[in-house]
Amino acid sequence: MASGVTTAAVSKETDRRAAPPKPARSGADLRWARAAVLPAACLAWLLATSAGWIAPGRFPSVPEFLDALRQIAVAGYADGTLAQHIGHSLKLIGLGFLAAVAVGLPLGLAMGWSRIVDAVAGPVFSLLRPIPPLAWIPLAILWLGLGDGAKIMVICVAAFVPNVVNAYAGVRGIDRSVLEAAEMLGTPAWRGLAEVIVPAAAPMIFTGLRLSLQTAWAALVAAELVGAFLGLGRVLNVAQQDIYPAMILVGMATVAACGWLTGRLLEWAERKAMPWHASARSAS
Amino acid sequence: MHVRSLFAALALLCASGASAQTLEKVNISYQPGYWALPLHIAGEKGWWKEVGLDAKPVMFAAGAAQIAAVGAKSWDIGGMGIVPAILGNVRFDLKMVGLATEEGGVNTLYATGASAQKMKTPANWRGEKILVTTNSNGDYIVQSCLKKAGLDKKDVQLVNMAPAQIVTTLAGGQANLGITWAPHIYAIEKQIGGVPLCSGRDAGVFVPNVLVARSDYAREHPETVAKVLAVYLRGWSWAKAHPDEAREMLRGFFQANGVYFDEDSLRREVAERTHYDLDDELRLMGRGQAGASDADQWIRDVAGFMQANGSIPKVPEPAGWVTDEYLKQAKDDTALAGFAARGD
Repeated sequence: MASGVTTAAVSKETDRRAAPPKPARSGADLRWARAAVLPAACLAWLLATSAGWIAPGRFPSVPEFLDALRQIAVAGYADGTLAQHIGHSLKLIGLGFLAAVAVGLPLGLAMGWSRIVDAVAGPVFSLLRPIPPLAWIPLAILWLGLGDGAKIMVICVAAFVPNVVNAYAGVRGIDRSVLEAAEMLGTPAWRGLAEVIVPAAAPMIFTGLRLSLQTAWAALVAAELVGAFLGLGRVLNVAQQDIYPAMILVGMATVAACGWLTGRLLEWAERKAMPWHASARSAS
Repeated sequence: MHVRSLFAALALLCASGASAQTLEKVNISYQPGYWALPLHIAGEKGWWKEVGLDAKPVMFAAGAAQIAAVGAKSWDIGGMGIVPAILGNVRFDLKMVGLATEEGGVNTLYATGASAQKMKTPANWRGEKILVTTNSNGDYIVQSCLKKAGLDKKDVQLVNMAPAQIVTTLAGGQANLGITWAPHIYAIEKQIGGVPLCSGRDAGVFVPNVLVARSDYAREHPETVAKVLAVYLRGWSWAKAHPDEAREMLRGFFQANGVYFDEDSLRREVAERTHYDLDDELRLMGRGQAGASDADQWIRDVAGFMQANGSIPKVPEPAGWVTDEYLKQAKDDTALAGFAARGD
């Protein structure tokens, strides 16, 4: 019975509000445009560096980039091969992100749902929120040592904020009439949370997850600047010390590719979790 | 001797035609380190003008940033550690034109904490975290120390950190072993009670700081490079003749750059390094019959380490970028050679 006003009603309501404006061009046109951007940028890069429009030493050429890629992939660089660095960074990102979701999501939902939790946790969160993740590095090392724990903590702290903010905003943004209908129908509190509040706030929650994942990748490089044995942040740091622009570009491109891939993975999860939602459909 | 020096100075002044109108501009880059003291003294004493130069100091905190600035031609002649100098040659075609100091004695691996005494036995380093600045002189020395102890870098965990972070991490007790260089080693000894385990000297390696010039600049201004070398060497001659004044100059140089020493550390700064006069430089950098100089061999060893680390694709042949031609030019010019030897 309560389900009569739950997922379906909420989804229709959110769908109606979140319906995007009609695109000016067809989806197929845009897909071509998207697919053409990267090859065009690569072609421009190849032309600019081989024609000498960009001075050698200022920006690596395509062959230099490929040499650096071959070096790190085959012989290794900064004490590991590319696969080892990616694997290590993915492990840190995965654990940091999951920890951030495990703490941030319930906190955001609770702050949005309960005025008491908001009154207690809100001011503390507001105080902690502006602290840059980098500032936590010395304390993280002091508390958790030089191992992966400190790096996971820094990533978690960085990724935690978007989860809380978006979950909170998602709950606060739910149409009051939907909540009142659930309450009027006698929906128990926990069921209301699971079947009304979370589904209604889900689009905002997933927006928070996407932002959180991006922030986690940005924090990874900072987290691995100090005391890292492996990882893409270490590659960037060592390449910077080596004044090795081609390797810096390889590191940056790998972070971008990994960030894009994990982002796609999250979009896939979003489509599975909310097949009814417009943003999930448009992502597919 | 005094009369001869006076004549040499006069001849130099005439030769360079030094006047406010004819001073040649040159950008000299260095870092706040002991090896750069002669450049500081030269500025304080007004020696640049005496050789017809208007030298502008360009200061850097570390070699990597100094090298990165070569691309933008931010400086012409400078000094730095051998590791960034090799990178500078590979990436930006820098030329090594002289030796500054030998730093092996002040790059030291320390043990701290309760297990410090136990670490005097190198076999106990196995499995330990060693804090080190990747691709620095310290990295080269710690790997040489491991090799000498019959260990490999895979037997320990080398943790990359900046020198100041190494000190704070050792102080916080998150690791028990760390290698860094002066002045940070004084803090490790005095504030944390660090026990020295192995220095560059102990490992039997030479780690010079060197004088370098941009290739295009050196090609177009060989006389200027020779003059800068003469001024630099005069700094050491003067410091040798006036040790107390030189120590005060060093204190002032460091304080101006935010580095503070106690009396004992300052004395060590001066005592534990080797520096050279013009004849020493020519002997160490001259190739002669053997075809390779002492400096060539030191540089090959360091470059081999950098190649093994993947920092450079191959060891650059020293004959292609390490040259004593500007030192010879200074030696062949009586006025410049006299200037370099002056202790006043």
